[in-house]
Amino acid sequence: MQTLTFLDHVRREWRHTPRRGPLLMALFGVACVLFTHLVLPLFPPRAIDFMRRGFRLEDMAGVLALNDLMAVYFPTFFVGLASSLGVVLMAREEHRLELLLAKPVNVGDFVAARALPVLAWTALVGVTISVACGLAVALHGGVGTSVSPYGALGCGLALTALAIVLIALLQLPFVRIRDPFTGLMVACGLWLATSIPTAVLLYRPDAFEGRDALLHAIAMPSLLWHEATLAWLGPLLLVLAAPTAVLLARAAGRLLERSDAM
Amino acid sequence: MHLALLDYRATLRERKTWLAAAMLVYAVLAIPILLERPPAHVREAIAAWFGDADPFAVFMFVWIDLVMNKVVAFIPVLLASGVLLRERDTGVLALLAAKPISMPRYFVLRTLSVCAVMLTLYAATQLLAALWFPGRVAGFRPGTFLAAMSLHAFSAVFVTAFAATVIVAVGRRGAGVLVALMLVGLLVGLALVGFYQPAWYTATLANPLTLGALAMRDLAGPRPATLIPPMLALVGMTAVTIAIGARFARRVEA
Repeated sequence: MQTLTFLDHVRREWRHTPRRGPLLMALFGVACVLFTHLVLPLFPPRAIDFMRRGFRLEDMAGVLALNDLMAVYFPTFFVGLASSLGVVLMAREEHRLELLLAKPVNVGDFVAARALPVLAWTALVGVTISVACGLAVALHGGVGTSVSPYGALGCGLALTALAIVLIALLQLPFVRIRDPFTGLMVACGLWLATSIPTAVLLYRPDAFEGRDALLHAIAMPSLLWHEATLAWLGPLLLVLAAPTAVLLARAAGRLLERSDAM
Repeated sequence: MHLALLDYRATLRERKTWLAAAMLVYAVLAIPILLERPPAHVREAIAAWFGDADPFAVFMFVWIDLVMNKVVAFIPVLLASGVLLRERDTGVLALLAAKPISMPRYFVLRTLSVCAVMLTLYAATQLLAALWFPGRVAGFRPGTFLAAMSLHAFSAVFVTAFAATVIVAVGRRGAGVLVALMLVGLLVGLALVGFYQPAWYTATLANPLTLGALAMRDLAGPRPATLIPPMLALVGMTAVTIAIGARFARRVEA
């Protein structure tokens, strides 16, 4: 009997990974970008100014791009989260995990092989919506020059990279948690934690006084303040996110192997 | 109803419910710090949108938009994510099918139970906030706060029923949660648009989360005439949503 390699396992899992959810979320994200560019310019100047001043953006192009970035981050993270529940959590709850692990497959490879297609689809969703952001900024050039199409694309790819690493990181607690809903709660908490610095910037900007490095590292609008850098750094971060995610997924597998919670 | 009560008590004891409660307590403790020194342009913008320059209006905007609307976007969906489909996927539904209770009725009982859990978490948060905020939030008025949030609680219950219905309609838990998060995210995102752009105000009243925030227009002292019509509308929307969910529940097979 021929032994399957890790890549064979990944190929098999890829064939069985649900696609409708990611495709739907990619369309949803693109629709959100379109909606932002059609509707936001119709808001009264005071509402636009509220966002522009609060998030330290230069012009309407920055305000539109920031809203576009939310349309990248939300669907990308949550499509990855929903799909990754099937890696171990739901299989365990439905009493299928023991059956799946009875196959002649290394547990680390098993978890990584199930997680990688999910992460790949998550990346595809993020990249699709990021491209839509870049195109929208290019087509809507008359509203300002503070964000270039490549800058918007790079910022979107940086957030996609963040979402992929977070979803891969979540696999570590997911192999220990027994209840999928506890897992969902932990994941939502993590997502909200990444969004809190943006709210602090809006309502308590003084909290960042004298802490410029922290502000530029954790507040989402800071991506747009460095959009020229993000034009090349964003794709690079996405490329670096891939091996990081693979390492985290394999680490989750090893954790499951050592765990008595199977 | 006895079954719904048993389910309600069991859900209250679950770890996920306690995690949700911990997040809500964190929000209550963090908000006074976040609102200690709002920038002038934030105060001016909020005063213009709601016609009220009182610092309490700034607080209510942040509490509803930044905190409770985000809570409503996540916690009800997570609580509702197990209704019916969890029992099916874990093989429990086959046992329940042998009992003298139909699937639609079981769906209604489970949905009412998770709505009650959401309402309990919600009410406990507002009561804790009403005790914690005086002296910590400028111009805080507990009576007005509780009246305004009692209306918003109806939209939280609606979203719980809506999420349960969407998840059962989709028929798969992971995909159902995703679609429910997406739809509820849209409702939350558009909840206050009518306040920013008055020309769209009437159209936004179709959004249950806008109805839940209508007390923002009457913060001088919300009157029954401001609160009761949207409450009744939300009760009606919730009942219709649960009835639609019960029809979808017929399709679920053990």
